[in-house]
Amino acid sequence: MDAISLWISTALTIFTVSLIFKETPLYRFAEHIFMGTAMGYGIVLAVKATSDIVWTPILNGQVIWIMSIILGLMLFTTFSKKHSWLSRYPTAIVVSTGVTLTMITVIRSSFLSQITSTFLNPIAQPFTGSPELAINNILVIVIVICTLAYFVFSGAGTWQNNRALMLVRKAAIYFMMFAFGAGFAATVVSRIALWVGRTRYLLAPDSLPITAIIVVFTALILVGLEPLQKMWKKA
Amino acid sequence: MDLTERIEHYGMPALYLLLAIGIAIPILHPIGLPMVVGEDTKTFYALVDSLKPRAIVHYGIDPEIGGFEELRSRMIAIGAHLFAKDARIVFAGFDPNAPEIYKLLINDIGVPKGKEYGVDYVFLGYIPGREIGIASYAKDVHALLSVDYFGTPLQNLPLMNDVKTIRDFSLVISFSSHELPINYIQQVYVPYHARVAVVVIGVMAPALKPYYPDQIVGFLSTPRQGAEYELLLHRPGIGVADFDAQTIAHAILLIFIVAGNLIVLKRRHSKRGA
Repeated sequence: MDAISLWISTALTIFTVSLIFKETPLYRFAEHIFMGTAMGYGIVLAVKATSDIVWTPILNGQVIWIMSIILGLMLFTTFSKKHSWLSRYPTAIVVSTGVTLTMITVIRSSFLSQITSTFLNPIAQPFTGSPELAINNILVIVIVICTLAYFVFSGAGTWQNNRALMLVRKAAIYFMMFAFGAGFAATVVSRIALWVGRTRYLLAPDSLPITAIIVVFTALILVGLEPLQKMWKKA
Repeated sequence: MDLTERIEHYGMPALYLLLAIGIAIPILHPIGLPMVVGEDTKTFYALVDSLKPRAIVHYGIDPEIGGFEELRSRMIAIGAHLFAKDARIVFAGFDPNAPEIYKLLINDIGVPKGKEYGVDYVFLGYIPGREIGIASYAKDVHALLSVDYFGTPLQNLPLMNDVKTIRDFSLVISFSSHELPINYIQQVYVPYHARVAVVVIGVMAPALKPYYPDQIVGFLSTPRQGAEYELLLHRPGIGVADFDAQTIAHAILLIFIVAGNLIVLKRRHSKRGA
């Protein structure tokens, strides 16, 4: 079983990477396998979660959980033109519960606390002993003000021609570009980490011979597919 | 075809080829590049190290499978550290990939001899509902779940008899590749003031960093920190092994970024000249 899974995972990894050079039936095969497996996995997991969280308590006498099954089934009425209005009730419950839970805490965690965390005093304790931190805090304050000014003072208006505001807006563009650049760099780092992990797997002593065989096979398909397709069309 | 056109034409395949070689060589023959342990890693290490024996820790397996590889070294190192500190670990995930990742992870961490399932660690499986699931879990674990992932009733697991709400956890850690840690902050830190530590992939760092250190007590966001944690733990693993490959890959990318910008500048210059 381990050997089979080793062959499958190695093959699917290399088939997927082959897209760098050209889209081939091998890549499409791997893509379809991934989609199918992900869908199957999701369904199995949903059934297991329903069984563990809803069905087991019902069997233990907690009949209130039947409500969640009824509400869940009501969602499927969306496929019927006549009864689709019924699906609005579970949707409303899900949305209202989510909004209520979030609204209570989001103001504190993502609004008030963020404001107090942003407007720091760079010369107060405990920052006096750390010039780096003081500089960071000044930067945070300056960047937040510039970026806010960029969005607040956008659109048409006579103040648009104010020289100081133009400078602030120009600085804000640079600050935002730095932020977007850092975000993009972080994405690249993530992808490299993923690639390193897969390479480690492919070059492990167990999978190295399999990797070599599948790389050769994929290379042959990449090189030979187009001439074969041409020959097929001619025939 | 002049040099810049040649670079432009062959740049992309050359980049992939160089990256593949640059990553493969250090994996086959590690170089051992020097590494300095950062402040965030030291803080996180101290946080786990300060746990009292038998403290209960929530270990949130919340990444998608695509983000797991980047988090893997940190998840293994922190898991091993928790076991070494004799902490009791409640593994659970609010992302559907949690069960599959748990199987890989528990194998990678290697449960120490003498540690018993149900007494020293449990796995509650995937808890659906994301933020609503986290809120329910924080309020009353037993009201939300009656069995663990393997179908064992929670009352038969000694560890779970000591857990009722999130207040019973000494530390709540979320390993994630998306915005779930923000839900933890909103549903675990704000209402209960539980100590939340977050380990995320690099892409999520800008979204989570503003919460540190005011609302979260520990924060790791780069794969390099996995290697740093392994060094602090004196347990070199895949983090240290991958560090060389990642560094070389980043160096290659930097060279290509500089080359690409030089080509653009040269082209702009020649257009102006024309």
